[in-house]
Amino acid sequence: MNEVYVSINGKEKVVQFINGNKVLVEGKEFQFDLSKDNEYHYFLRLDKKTFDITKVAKDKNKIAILTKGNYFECIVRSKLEINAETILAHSEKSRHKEDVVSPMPGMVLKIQKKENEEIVIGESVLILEAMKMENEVTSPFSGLLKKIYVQENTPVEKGSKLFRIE
Amino acid sequence: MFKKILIANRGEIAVRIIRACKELEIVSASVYSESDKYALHARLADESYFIGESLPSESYLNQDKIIQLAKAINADAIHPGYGFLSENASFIKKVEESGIVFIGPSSKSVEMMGSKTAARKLMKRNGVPIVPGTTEKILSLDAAKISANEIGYPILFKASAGGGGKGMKRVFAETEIASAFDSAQREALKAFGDDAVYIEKLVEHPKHIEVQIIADKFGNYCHLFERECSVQRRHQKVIEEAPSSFLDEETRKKLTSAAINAAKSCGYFNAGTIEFLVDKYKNFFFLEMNTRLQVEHPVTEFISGIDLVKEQMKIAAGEPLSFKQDDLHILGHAIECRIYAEDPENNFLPITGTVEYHRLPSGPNIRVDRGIETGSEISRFYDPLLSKISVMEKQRYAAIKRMDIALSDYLIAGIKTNITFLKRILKNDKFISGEYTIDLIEEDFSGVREICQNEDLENAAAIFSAYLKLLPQNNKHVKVVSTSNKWTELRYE
Repeated sequence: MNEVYVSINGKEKVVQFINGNKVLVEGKEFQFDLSKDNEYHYFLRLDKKTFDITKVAKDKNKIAILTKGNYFECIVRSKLEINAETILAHSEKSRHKEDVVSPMPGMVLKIQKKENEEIVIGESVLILEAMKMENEVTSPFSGLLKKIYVQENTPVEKGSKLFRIE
Repeated sequence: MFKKILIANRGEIAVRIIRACKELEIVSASVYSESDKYALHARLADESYFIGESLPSESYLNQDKIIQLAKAINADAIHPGYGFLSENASFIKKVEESGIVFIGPSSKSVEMMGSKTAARKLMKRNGVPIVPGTTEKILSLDAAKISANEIGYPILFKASAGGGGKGMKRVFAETEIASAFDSAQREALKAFGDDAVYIEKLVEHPKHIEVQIIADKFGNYCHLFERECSVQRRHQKVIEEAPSSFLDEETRKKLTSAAINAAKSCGYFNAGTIEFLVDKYKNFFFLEMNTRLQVEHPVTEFISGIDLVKEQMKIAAGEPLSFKQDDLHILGHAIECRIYAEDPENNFLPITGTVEYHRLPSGPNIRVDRGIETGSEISRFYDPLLSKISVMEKQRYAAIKRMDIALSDYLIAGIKTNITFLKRILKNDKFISGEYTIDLIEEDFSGVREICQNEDLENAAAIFSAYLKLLPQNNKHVKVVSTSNKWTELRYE
């Protein structure tokens, strides 16, 4: 297995490693030379072009990098993973049924909606305070506010569940 | 001159002040909280002292602890930096009473300018134009509605006790006023311990232009020209430049003399900044006075050639200004970019984490002020400002290019920053033409995320991330070629 499907900027690019320093991107061949300074800093030569690259974050299949002042988020998957996802997507009804998580650590200041209320996309559900600023947390889609996981005046961590829309 | 200065701050500004101390051969003493034990400012100072837990109220805002410490270590002056206690009149008064010199204005000046409503009254009396609105605290929702109707929508609620966008809410129609009033009061109370808010007419599409002034204790006042700080997100500045390409010589003259009048009206000494809103007809209105050193002071230092921090120390020590107004000339065009740990694609929310790798840009007239390096923890306790890049060139466009290159050379790993966002602003037509207002980011950069579509960069990013994907599963394919230097060559076999 030397094939990786990379989703970048809304495009899908197939990257195939041939040997030592040959790689195909969408069938186009490049000479490449990758070196590591440390786990977070790499240097890539692509043909004769140079790229200093730093790893901003890696979360499962999501890799975020910075090169020449440009930030990229790439989703990397094998053929197998893509197939598995296609099957899953078909088996499960694509309904919006999702937990909304806290985008940052902060304090729940005010909950503006009640459970079982109908929420319209973009509507503010609660106010989160971080860095002494109030931030409205809005619903990313319309639906029923099924559950509120937090209470007013309690701190939340980044990524912790705030509420559920179904 | 002082023998020892205690720096009651952290991060890049503490580092900046430590440098000035060293240049003046003054012993620098920094303070640090629990989470800042190994922070740059705690290591660069000649001496450093633990002052408490990470929560600012336990450490950097703990007035008594800081003053007691200053006495115990025989510091003869305290530099407050910006933020934290820098504009806290009661703290400054305590410092004055303790016999230690406060490097900044008198508590009296700070108090006069600290209440925004009192400052507005003072300016009105001294002929400095103010934004139409109330000069008193709004006591009730009904009173707010009456004032708003008199002034005319859109209006702005602002906190009497502070700035930085906290307690600030825009209202375009009466239906929005109740929730905005509540929210403004809540934010003001949280941020400043005072829920007083007042109303200003919302000046639509203004520029934010401010004047740096400096004065000694002998009544000598100088201005160090203006800074344009119109590139703002969430009411906070992101890019600042000096001079402003919008001002002609005549407006500059009027603006700077209004600034000096404002400073004189509160008997000001040391460095300070008078902020103005400027409308498209070049009418300007007093916004507030910042009675302290500002984040964006490097651009003024670039174009004036004056070291503001050293000058602050000399003034505090009782020396007269080392220059006169006529000695000052605009030496070029300077730009500063603030590097924040934040997510521009997600409403600029602050990001926490570890700086895993850090390489700074350098080159002619590129200046970096920083409080971080590889290994630094960015905690939720403090402002997410990581560093500031400032550049100068003869002409504005050349300065923009220099900044763009500097940002490209800045490598930072492990934490998302606004670097790419800043580069996008530098390429924006309105920014390049200089015809931008404080609404630039909201108008041109909200909503759809604009992405870099450069194919070379995309390919490099794709190959690199594909490689990282293969790495854990196919180690047998990855050959590590050790080289004589620290670089490790990776090969796919």
